[in-house]
Amino acid sequence: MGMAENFQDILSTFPDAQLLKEGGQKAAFLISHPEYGKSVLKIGTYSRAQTLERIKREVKTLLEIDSIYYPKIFDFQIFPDNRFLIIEQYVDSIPLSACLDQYVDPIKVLSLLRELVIGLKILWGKNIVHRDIKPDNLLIASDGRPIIIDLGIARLLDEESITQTLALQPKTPIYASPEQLLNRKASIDIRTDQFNLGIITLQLLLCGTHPFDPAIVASGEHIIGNILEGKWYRGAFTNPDIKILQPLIEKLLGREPYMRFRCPDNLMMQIDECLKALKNER
Amino acid sequence: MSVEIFHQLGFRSQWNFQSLNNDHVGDSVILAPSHMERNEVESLSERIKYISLFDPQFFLPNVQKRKLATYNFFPDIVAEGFQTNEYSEGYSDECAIQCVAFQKSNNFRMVIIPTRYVSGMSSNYIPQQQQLFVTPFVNAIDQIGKDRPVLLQLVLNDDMIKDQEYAADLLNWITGITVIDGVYLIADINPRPKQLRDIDFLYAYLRFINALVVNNLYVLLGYLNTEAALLTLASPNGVTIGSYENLRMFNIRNFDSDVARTIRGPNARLYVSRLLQWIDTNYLGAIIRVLGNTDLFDDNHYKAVMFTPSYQWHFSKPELYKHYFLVFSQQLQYITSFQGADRYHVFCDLTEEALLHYAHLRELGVILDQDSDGSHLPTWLTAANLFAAEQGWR
Repeated sequence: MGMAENFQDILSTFPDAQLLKEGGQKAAFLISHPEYGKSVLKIGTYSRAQTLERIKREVKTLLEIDSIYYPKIFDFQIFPDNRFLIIEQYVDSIPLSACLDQYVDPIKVLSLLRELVIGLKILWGKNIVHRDIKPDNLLIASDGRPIIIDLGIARLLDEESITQTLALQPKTPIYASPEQLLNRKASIDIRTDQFNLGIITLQLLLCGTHPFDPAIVASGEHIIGNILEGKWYRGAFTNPDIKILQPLIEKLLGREPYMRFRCPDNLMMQIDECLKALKNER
Repeated sequence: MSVEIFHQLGFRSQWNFQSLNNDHVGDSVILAPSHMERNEVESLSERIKYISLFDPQFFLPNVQKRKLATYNFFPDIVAEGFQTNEYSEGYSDECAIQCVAFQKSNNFRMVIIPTRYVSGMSSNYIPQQQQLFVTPFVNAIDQIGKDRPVLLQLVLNDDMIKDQEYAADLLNWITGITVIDGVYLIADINPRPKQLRDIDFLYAYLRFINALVVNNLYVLLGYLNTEAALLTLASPNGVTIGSYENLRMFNIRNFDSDVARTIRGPNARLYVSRLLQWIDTNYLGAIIRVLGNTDLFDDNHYKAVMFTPSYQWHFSKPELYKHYFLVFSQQLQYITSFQGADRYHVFCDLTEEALLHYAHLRELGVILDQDSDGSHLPTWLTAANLFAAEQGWR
């Protein structure tokens, strides 16, 4: 049972709870809530007061966000014995990682990127960096809209159980930016998320192949090494449709944050220009 | 877009105002509180203030200078003796609010977030600048209201700019400060030769400036000598012209206390645009003798005054500098009337023509000393070529 044992008192109020995911110091259950309906119950424990403060800040932010691009938080409770629970909106969706093959057409890829940027601008406007944008953390709802999940609470808990050196790295560093991989804390800002988006965008255009994969870059030994060295596959730009996107992707994948978009509005403008150019070509 | 020209004010600032008003040289002035008391600044005409920037000159915040002390927001005055820790904990916010309010109430063109001078490559540079100045000033601007562009002032030394990783950290930090609209950048080269010749620095500085410009930041370069011509290749928005060398070459010692230092009067020098150099006036007679009736020297009403037999050349004569303001600003406007690759080619042409002039003078027996010759120009061309190659211009 693991985590469930520690939360028997809570889980007993949701007899239909179905375990969705469990790991480390947290678990997620699908529940039928009498007030919120079909929801996700997230339970966990923390050991440091500092972590609790950060969780509180994150939840406060999430509660303020009223956007179709994020699951809504209905409830947040902290217990005296270092336990907490979050009740979150359930969204009928599949992760992007499970449907990469549906996003090959450049217009569809760019439209997805556009929606993700609209969603992330809400966070960026609050000077919050997601830090772990990856296909597993992007859900595609039944109406096609992307939903951004895992805004940090889960990672905050993971940080408690891993070494300090790795603390700022996402769990899946193959979507991480060079500054994340090198743990250059001072350089991590909203432009870090842009790098993650750049990888995903190009990966979709490459039919699911990671653009830093040594197999297609024909250089390096592993993806992380290639990210650090700025080696990625540019062969896709021989396709005229994708060529239009080259300046946008080159900027998103800038090795340093200052090489990316300083202002999210400029990123949006460039996406719109690319979309317009692609549509005009057809 | 052509570059804006700012007069870097200091000692003898009346020459700059005369140049601005009478010769219509320059677009703006940068006021220097170390040389102008508060009431003097406040009594400037509304028109001048409207086009001016006020540089708070916090470079050495613990130094007592008589004129700086007339500004009640100078850190040493606010804190009654500046100590870094005490200042950051108790005085930085008050100082920032008063300084921003002063800049706004005088209706200066932009608000400048000042900086502290730091030598070497401190690992604490960014956090300290952020804590002492950026955060308090950003808060003050938020509190008072932002109604004009905000420039972040930085004094960066050549090592900071040449070190790729350090420079990248600086660029990441600067471009991540969302409230600023631009950067007022000053390069600190120590020891400072009359002309910059360090190719690695010049190339790195071009790249640094360009990175800021690409991020849509307004870039104003302060305390420039004639290397401004080279640096325009990186498309800064503004460059400075100054009279005495201490306004064309940043030296932190000039901001130290008012204790008098013995300064040896330098030789008088005349700026010659075709040579891209300040020439020791001791050589002028020899040059005229070997070239005869020459158009090497830039012609204007100051030349008419200076090239008379009775004129006594001296470094403190205003004509030398007003002539420079006029000639060099025209040269900068010419170069920056071109863009990108065209600007680079124009710069190369001017530089190569200057080298031909030097070669010709040498053939004729005029052996210029190293502060008057063209030995800096091959280094400028090399830095320009490296930068141009990166930009795809060559």
